[in-house]
This record gives sequence, C-alpha cells and structure tokens, in this order.
Amino acid sequence: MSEALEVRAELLRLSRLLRREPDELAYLAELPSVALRELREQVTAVLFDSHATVLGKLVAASRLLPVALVAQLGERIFGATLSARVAGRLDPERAVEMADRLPVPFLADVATELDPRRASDVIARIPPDRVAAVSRELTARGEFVTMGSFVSHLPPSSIAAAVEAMDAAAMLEVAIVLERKDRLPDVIALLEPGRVEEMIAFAADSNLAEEALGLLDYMSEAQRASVMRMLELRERRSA
Amino acid sequence: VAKDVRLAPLRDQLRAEPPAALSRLTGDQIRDLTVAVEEARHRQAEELEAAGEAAFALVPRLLRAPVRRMLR
Repeated sequence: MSEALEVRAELLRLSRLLRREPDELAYLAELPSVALRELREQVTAVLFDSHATVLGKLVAASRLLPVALVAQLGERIFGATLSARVAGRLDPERAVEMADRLPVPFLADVATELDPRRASDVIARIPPDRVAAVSRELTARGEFVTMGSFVSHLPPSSIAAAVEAMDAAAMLEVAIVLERKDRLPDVIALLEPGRVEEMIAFAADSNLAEEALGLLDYMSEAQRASVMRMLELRERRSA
Repeated sequence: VAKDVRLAPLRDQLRAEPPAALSRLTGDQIRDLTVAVEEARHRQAEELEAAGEAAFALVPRLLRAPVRRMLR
C-alpha cells in the first residue's frame, strides 16, 4: 500500500475510534503512517482497557443469561461500539452462538468498531457462511479498510467464503488496504485464476493500477509470474 | 531527546508515550487530539453505565438479583 493510502486507512480507523469525521482529524494526515498506527494502537488500548473491570463484570453476569437474551441486549441496549469492546472478552463459543442470532447489518456495525486482534479467537470460529454474509454487507458499504483488518484473523475456509461473496473491484480494494500483506499469497492461492484475471482487468481500467502493481511485491514468485503472464496476454489482446 | 512538554496531557490520556512525530503538530492540534481522546473515554463510560442500567429491564426478574450481585 502506498504511504498516502496507508495514512488514509489509519486516519479512518482512528476517526472511527474517536467518533470524529476523518476530515476533523485531517491535520494528522501530514504525519507518517507508522506514527498514526502507533497512535491508533494506543487509543485502542485505552478504549478497550479503560473500563476493563466493568466490562469483565458484564461478561461474568452475561454467563447467567441465555445466549439469545445476551444477543438481544447487545443489539438493542449496548449497541455496536460497546458490543465490540466486549466481544474479545466473551467465551468464544457463546460469542459465536450470539453472532449466529444477530442480524448481519448489526454484525457489520460491530466489525467496523472491533479491534480484530482482541477478538481473534471469536472471529476465527465464526462459520464461513456467516463471514460471507458480513463480507457482502461490508462490501456494499465500501468498508474495505475494515475488511482488510480482518483477513489475517480468518481461517482459509472463511477467506474463501468471503472472496466468493465479493466482486473483483472489492477484492482489489481489500487487497490494497490489507493490514497484514504477508497473508496476501495465502489469499491469492485461494482464488480461481479467473478471479485473479477479473482483478487485473478491473485494476487496468481503474485509477488503482499503480496500487495494484504494488501488490506484486507481496506475492510468491509463482503468483507473480502468473500475473505477469496474464498482463502480457491482456496487452497482446488489446494491441 | 527531550520530551515535548506539549504532549504531556495527551500522554496522560493515552497512558503511554505518544509517538514522537506528534511533536510536528501545532499546540491547537495537540489540544484537539487530547480532547478527542478524553471525550471518547468519557462517552464510553457514560454509554456503559446507561446500557448497564437499561439492560436490567430486559433481564428476567428471577435473574436480576444474581446479575446485580455479579455487577457489584
């Protein structure tokens, strides 16, 4: 990802945490992305750990209640932000059961507020079809930065289900803002060659061509060679 | 390297040393960022308290006493 895109992604994550519009924090855009990331992680730690005692008690009390009721409380009373703060503290099995009962738009809301690193166990256990449904919703909202943060916490079966639910444009947008680029070869390996071609075609016709070419650096040698062959073929066809 | 004293209130809010690059910001910008973090923490505390109380209305009466005990 280019430094400018990296900065934009970090500003989006930070503004969401602070519940400010990204424009209100525009003065941070001159700072290096690495500093913004560090700042965002500090803010995340403060917000997720600030009320640790209360959140811990809430989770303990929730064990006395049926999962269906806890899910209902999450959606109707606590809302997406507080649910996201609590998610990583829940017993993973119960959290997955809850996710199964909650409407997809609410799960998408929670996903945008969640620090995936703090709920990795839960995210990894969510069934692939549910991941696909939430991916579809996030794609419709253009939440590519959120999706890019989740990829490294998903097992291959869920990544496969998610990419199946996305079109070439969304896949490229997510790949560009992927938080852990070292997972890119694993993601590409899950794609049918036809889907990679679709991404290349979209990249070539969009203003993301340069960013897309940057992704080659993170691919395996075989994947890079394969993409280069596709590019050559495309050029020959259009010549 | 001497610490930027202008970052002290932000350091208190973050409970950590802010990235050194933040020294490039103006005083007003640092203050705005500090207020944003402070407001986010306060808002979360208020929302947590309000949600905790509101949740009781949906908890079956039989379970309210044990739930309340867990929350003390």
